[in-house]
Formats: sequence, C-alpha cells, structure tokens
Amino acid sequence: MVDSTTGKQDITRIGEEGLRGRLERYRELRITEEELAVVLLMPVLAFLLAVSFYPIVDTIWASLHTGYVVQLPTQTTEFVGIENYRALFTDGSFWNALGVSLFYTFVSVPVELVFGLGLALLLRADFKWKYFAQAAILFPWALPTVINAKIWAWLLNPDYGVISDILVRVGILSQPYPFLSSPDVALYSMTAITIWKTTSFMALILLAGLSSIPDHLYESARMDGASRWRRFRDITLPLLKPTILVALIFRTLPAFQAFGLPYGLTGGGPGEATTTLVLYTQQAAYNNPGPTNGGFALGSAAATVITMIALVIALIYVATLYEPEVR
Amino acid sequence: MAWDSSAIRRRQIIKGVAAGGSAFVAGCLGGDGDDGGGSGSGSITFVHISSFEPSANDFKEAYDSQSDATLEVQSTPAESSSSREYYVNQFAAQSSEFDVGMMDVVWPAEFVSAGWASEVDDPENHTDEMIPTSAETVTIDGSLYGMPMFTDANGLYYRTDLLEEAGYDEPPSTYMELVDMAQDIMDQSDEDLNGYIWQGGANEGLTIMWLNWLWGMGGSVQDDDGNLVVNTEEGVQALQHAVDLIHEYEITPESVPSSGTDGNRQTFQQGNTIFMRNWPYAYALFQDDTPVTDKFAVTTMPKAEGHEDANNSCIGGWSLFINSFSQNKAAAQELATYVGTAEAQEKLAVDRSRLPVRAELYEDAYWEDSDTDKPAFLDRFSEILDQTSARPAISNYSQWSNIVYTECNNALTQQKSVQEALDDAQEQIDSDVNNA
Repeated sequence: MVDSTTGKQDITRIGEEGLRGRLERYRELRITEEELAVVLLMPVLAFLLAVSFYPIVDTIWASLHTGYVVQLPTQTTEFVGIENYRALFTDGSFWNALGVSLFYTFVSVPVELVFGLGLALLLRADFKWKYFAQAAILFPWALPTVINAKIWAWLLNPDYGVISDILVRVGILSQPYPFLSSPDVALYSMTAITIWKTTSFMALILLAGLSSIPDHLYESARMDGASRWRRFRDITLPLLKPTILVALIFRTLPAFQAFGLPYGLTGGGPGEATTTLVLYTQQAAYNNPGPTNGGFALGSAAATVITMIALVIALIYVATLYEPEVR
Repeated sequence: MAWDSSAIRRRQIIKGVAAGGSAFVAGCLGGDGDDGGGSGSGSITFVHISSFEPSANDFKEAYDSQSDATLEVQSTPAESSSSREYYVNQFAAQSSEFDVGMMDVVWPAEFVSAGWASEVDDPENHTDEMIPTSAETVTIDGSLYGMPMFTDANGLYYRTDLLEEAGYDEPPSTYMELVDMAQDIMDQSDEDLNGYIWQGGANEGLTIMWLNWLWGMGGSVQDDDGNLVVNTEEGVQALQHAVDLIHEYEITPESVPSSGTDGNRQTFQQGNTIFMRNWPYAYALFQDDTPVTDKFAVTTMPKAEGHEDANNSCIGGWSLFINSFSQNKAAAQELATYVGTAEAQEKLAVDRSRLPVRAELYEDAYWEDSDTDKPAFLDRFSEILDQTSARPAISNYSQWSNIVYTECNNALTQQKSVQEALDDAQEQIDSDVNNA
C-alpha cells in the first residue's frame, strides 16, 4: 500500500516534472491515483457517450429534419425547424396518449408506494418463512413484461378467462365481462396489472432502506414511550425519505415510458383508450416510415418530448425529496 | 520509491483495461464481418414470419441441394405488423443482414417507393402461370418486385352440426340471413353459444372486416380521383352493421372489439361458436382432433341483399422479395425463381395447406399426373378466391389502415357514433394520406 505522505510528495513532484519527465514516467506505466481514475473512467464514459448521449442527440437532430433516418439515394436531409413538433402538438392522438400515460403513472405509482411500504414493513417482521416470502414476492416483478401482458390478456378474456369465470361463479357478475373491450375498464385493468407486478419491486427497495435504520433509535423511542404510529412517523418515514426518492424515480420513469404492457395486453385499444405515449411514438414512427413520409421524424419529436417530461418529473422529485445531509 | 508493489498492480490494471477496451471496440466494429460477398455462392439469409417455418425449412432443403449457395432461415413474429417493423428497422439501417424476406400483399407499394425491395427476375416466366391478381400485387410500373408464394382469402366458417340440428341445410348467403340464423340457433340451444365472431380488435383484421362488409354492399374506398374516402354511405352502413351485430342483434360477443385473428380461431375451436370469419390456415388446424373436427365447413362470405355480384372477401397472401441492400442478389434470385415453380407450389399446398398462386393447381387435370391427390380445401377456396377484392395499393397503406381500424374500433366500443368515427377518420386521411 502507498504511504499517504509519500503519495502526496509524489504528486507535488509531478507538478514540477515537465513534459519529458511525464512521458518517461508513462513509458514505465507509472501513474498517479488521479491519472488512474481518468483511465479507469474512460471506457464507461465512452460507453455512455456511444449508447446513451449519442442516440439522444441523434433523436433530437432527427426531430428537426425530414428524410434523416430513412432516405432515398437521391434525397437530401432537410432542416424543418419545429415543424415535426407542430404536427405532434396538433395531433389529437398525442394528447390522448399523454392523458393515458399521466393517469397510468400517477395512479399506479402512489398505490404501489403505499402497498410496497406495507409489504416491506410486513417482511421486516420476524416470522418462520420470512426468507421464502421475501423471495416469493419478487415473482411478479421477475416476469418479463410482454409475457405478463399476454398472461393477463388470457386471464381477462371473457370467453375462456378464469377471472370472468370466477366472478360469475361467486355471483358478482351475472355474465362474463369483456374487461379489455370497455375503454375505461381496459385502462383500469392495465393500471391494476402494473400495480400487481411492480409493488414487489417497490417493497424490495423500501425493505433495503428499512434495514439500514438502526434498531437503537426504535429502542430509545420505545423507552421514551413513543407509540407505534409516532415511531413510524418520526423515525421510519424521515429516515426512509432518501430510499422513497430512489423508489419513486425508479418506478415513475418506467411507468411513464410504459410500452410492453399495453403492446401485449390491448395493442392500445379499444380505440386508443390504452395507447400510452411510448406506444403512440412507436406507432407514429412505424406506420409511416418511408423516405417521403416522415414517420421517424414525428416519432423522434414525440420521443424528445417524452424525454423532456421524464426529466422534469425527475427534477421535481429531487427538488422536493432530496436532502444531502439526511443522516 | 513509491512505485513498487502498487505500481505493478496498477500496470496490470491498465493493461487489463486496455485489452478489454480494444476487444469492446473490435466487437462493435466487427459486426458486419461475417460472410457477405460473393455471387451465386456463399450463403444467403431468408427471414420469414414464424408460422411459415416448416415451409422455410422445405425451401432450405430444396435450395441447398440445387444451388452452390446455402440458405439460412431466420424467423420474425407471426403477426404481419410486427414483421414489417423488423424489416423497416433493417431498411432504415440499410442492413444487409438478410437477403430475402416475405412481403405481405399490402406492402409492395411502400417497399418499392422507398427503394427497399429490389427488382426480381422471372427467367422461367412463372408469373404467366399465376392467378392474375397475385402477380399484379407485386408488379409496379410494369416491373416485378416480388415472387408470389401463396395467396389468402377470407371464408365463413360455420358449424354444420348446429345448423343441421336447427333445421338449416345451407349456410347463410346474406348478412341478414346470417343474423336471423344465428339468433334462431342461439334461442334453440340450451348452451351459451357465440353467434358470430370476427376480428374486431384495433388491428389490421378490423380494417379487412370493414372492407368486406363495404364491398359486399357494393361500396369502394377509392373515389374517381383516386382519393381514399371512408365516410361514404356504404362505409357508414358497413360499420353500422358491425356495431349492430354486437349491440343490436347481440349475436357477436362484446369481447370481439378486443379480439384478433388467432384468438378468434381458438374461440371457435372450443366448440361454442356458430359462425366465424377467418383465413384458410384455420382449416388445417381444425383437422387434428379438436372439439369442432368433422363438425365444421367453410364457405364464401355472405353479401348484402341485392348485391349478388359484389366481391365480399379480402385477398391476402405473401410474396418473396429481395432486400435492396443484399450483398448476394444472384443467390437470392435463385430462391425467388424456385418458389414460383410448380414443385414448390405443390409442396406448399399439399404439405402446408397454403393456397397456391399457380392457377393450374386448382385444376383437376394437374393432379391426374401427380402422385398425390388434390387437397380438398383447394376446391372450397378457389370459389372464395373468385370473389375477392384487394386493399388499396398505396405507399402509406399502414397509416391509412391504422386510422381506419382505430376509428372503427371506437365505434364498436361505442365511444363514438358510426358517422362521427368515420368523419374523424376521413379528416385524418385527408390531411395525412390523401395530401401526403
């Protein structure tokens, strides 16, 4: 291990060594901590630039042009300014999709948070099958989304689905109900399915946060005579806040970007009742992708808008919930 | 010195990072390195819809034995629209990852105008032997852009046993006959029967259903100037009939507006449905020991009263196309030529229940010289094929269809009135399709 004092001496010496000395040192593969840090970060940075920042910039570029993604050999890319955004904002289907996504996100996430917290508190208690239960609740979350969507499409099918069958048998329904053919009920069903699927994920993150709260805080509070509710409100909740922030961001953004569930469950129907923003974007891009048609340009504009909204949501969460010196 | 043991460790880390990094970069750059070039030899890749896999393997066997090149086969999803998304992605990237693909009957205008499908040669004049409509769908401005492989048409499937029990000798021939018959059979039966199921979900199937009714009422979606119009008198009547089947006559279950082609097939196969509209593939599937085996038949779709000569079925089908960006078009052409041969067509019909595109295979004379018997379904479907019309051959067909099925679905689920839905559709079509 490097002695910290000698390490410091090295760094000061390096400031005076000059270019020639530095090159000589590199030839012997001798480098400082800082230089090593830069070298080690380079691959990650390059990777992020290639697979994350470049596509984002490219998408924004595509949203301002026609004939960019798909073009004929004779055709040139043309800058059209905000024309694609104008087309997007005058499309009633876009506003419908925005409404669907907002409902889906801001109904499912709070419900998941409440259920997830309840589940996490239950799983923290000591009982015989604790570890089995912790593993078991992860099952819905581990299901691939499209497969989950297809399973539920079968379960909700009125002709051979088990849900209608059970509800008829116990007398709640008089005849099988077509859940996915009724516009409102299809959206509620889709929201309920995502709550079922991701509550366990929420619980898992919150459980990790709960485990990091020291037990002695609860002990001393108990000694001071604090009620169960007081202990939850004044110890658990404040100390769990950073974890809740992470959990909310982790759930809100994917919910806002939902694609697999509506794609597999309803295809966005009936009509456009379950067409989320990302499903709308995909349809806009692929229904009309030809070089002279501009589907990809419209899709790129929609994708850029989704990114912006997601960014705003994340910023609001951070601004309201982030406390750097929480502990 | 401070550079002793830790310096050695660092050196190892740096070397490791450098090696890993260059391997990553090499991996990124090397993606297109595998067997590209050559002409007439090497290997070509055929991308097919998943349900076509058995036939693709048949092609491979025949191709590998006849050509210097070898054929690799690769599958995309069964659903036509998902396969189209795969192709569009490949085209947008100008990818030579595949050489030959399968083209649905409604894609040629788009693929050709975008420069994605390459011209196909027909050295053995197969297209002269084909059903004219099949060859027409892949001929644009006098040039051939695909080799037709098989055709498709909608038929009305019905339960012979249920009709007989209720005292009917023949299937219905008009829309209202079907309604009356279904209501009567449902009333007589103790079971909870579905009257008539069809593709009502927000997908291509619904566009086709609506077109079937519209054609059967003597309507058309193209006006004299070639513009697409949907809110015509026949258009409204056709959609109103569909809405009435569910909400007025109550012979179509309320689940139909969220149903698709294969979901319908599965429902009918369960044995509690009287009538179903579907494609020929279902015929083959109902043969192997299902609750409806030997209890069903397929016939031509009904028509509106007083329109005996109207077409009432939609032509489908797939052709083989050559990717414009293919590096090995000569070898790809060999496969295109092969699928048009009588040998390939016979195998598709006999082994895989596909409707052949070569007209001679529907004639009894052809089979007299053959080792095998004429498949029974060919006779049933040749009559249906005679009454088909084609969907509009426009380059932005997918967008048009998306508007039509979304708005029709809105009417079926009573979010909009029929007139409102079609007026809204027309507004979008005028701005996005007719003026594009």
